Amino acid sequence: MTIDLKSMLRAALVCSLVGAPALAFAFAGGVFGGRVTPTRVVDALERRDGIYPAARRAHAKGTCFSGHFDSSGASGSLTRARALGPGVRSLVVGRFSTGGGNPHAPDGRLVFRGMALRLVADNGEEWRTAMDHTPIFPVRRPEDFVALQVAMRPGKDGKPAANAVRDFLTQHPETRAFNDYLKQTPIPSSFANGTYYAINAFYFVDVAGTRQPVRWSFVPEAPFESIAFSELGRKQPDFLFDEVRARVAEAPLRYKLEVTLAEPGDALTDATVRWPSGRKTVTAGELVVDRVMPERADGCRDLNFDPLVLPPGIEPSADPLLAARSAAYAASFRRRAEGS
Amino acid sequence: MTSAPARFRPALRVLHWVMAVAVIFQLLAGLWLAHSVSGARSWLLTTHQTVGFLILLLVPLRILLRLTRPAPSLAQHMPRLEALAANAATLALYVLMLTLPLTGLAMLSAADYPIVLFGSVRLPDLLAKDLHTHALLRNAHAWLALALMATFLAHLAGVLQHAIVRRDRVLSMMSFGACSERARFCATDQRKQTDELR
Repeated sequence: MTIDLKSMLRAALVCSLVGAPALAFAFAGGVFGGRVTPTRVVDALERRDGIYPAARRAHAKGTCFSGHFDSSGASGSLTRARALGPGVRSLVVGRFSTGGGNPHAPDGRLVFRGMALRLVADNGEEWRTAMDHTPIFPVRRPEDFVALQVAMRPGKDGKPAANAVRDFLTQHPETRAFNDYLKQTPIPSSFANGTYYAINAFYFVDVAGTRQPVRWSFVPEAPFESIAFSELGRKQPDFLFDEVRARVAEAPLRYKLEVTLAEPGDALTDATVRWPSGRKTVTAGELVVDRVMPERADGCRDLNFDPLVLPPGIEPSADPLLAARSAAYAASFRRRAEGS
Repeated sequence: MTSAPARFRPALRVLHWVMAVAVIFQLLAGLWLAHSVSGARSWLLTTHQTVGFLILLLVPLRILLRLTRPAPSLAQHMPRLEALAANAATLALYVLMLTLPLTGLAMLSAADYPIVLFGSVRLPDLLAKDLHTHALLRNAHAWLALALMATFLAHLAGVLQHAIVRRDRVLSMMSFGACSERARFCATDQRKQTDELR
């Protein structure tokens, strides 16, 4: 009898010692559900905008460009990133895009306009950034992003359910504030004359290891011009992309990289909040876009503008959206690779 | 059979346990990277790549160490069929520990994703950028990881069965410490083994 009990206990011990790592694998693999996974983010985008197998699941419509970035060296004391050292030229491949998951959607919509860049410095260090034309983002956390996509999911009439949207907005004052910003702020008439913002905060890290929180933006040399909201719907479906192609054929586009330095107390983990005006900014260099080409394999089509691809000297902040963007971009990249 | 030593050579035993920790970390980190959006991603990405690269370097060393000296024989501890299964699992673990880092590094390369090891060493591109190749390798990486999890759990279950239920000397092949009369997983047939060697 005692022997039986002993051997049963031994068998139970074996089972639990094997079960523990099995459970750990299941937990890490998201088997138990309950948390936001990259799959859930990308599923939510697909259910909102439809599935276009070979297209990015967000910012699906775009065009590639190439050019270079000349560093002024002005931010060189703040970061050891080679791309921001004095006189360093980086080669650039980039992408202009409009928001949403439909690559055939008309340009005349009040949606995000994006500029994504890959900068490769002369020592091979790589820096990728995906920016929007707004300095703030509509949601603070990945779970809010998924909930927003669910609320905006079109019904049978092609429109999101009014009460779902209303409920979401009631619970998310930061999204209401974003919508107000969008409605009150003139939208640029071109990809070439609007500013693009990095949205999330990052750290510049100098040679001594000192970390300065920053946000960056690319400010166009072309004077700002806006397009009236009432005119958007009357425009040709590809007017933005046609215009930028024609414009670059005439002359290169130029943007100044403005690095804004945070002060103590500024939000580093909340992309819905702007930093107060009057923060010190440094003009770190100039981006020149001299060629626009269609989305093809030899351009930017097969690039994932993962915001966590950063050179030594630039580090991510703890903003939860940053890790979520990286994870969701990877899931989207995998799906379009499978669908291409 | 009598020439087979009771234990693996010390270097192999050290490598086994170091790599066991590394492999378990890799499995958990990989699952977390693929199925979570939460923080620590940046650190996990670079660490997963670096540790994977180190495993890729250590496996050939381990194979070399294993093949250049006789290894203990499982057949003296268990029925032939069980020994066959255990040896097959070992072989599978070696193959998976090689193919997982290879597919991992290659899938990043095919995606034109910079592989940066130890925080600053940029690995040269292994493959030309190609989306189809990326999809193939990305899926292979996931399936091989599942196979490694299953094989690891089977390996663990087998060893624990011997150590805890049968209480024989199988685990001692890979463990440290003296194989004295009192050593827990070592004592059972110490005398028999000594007799055999005579």
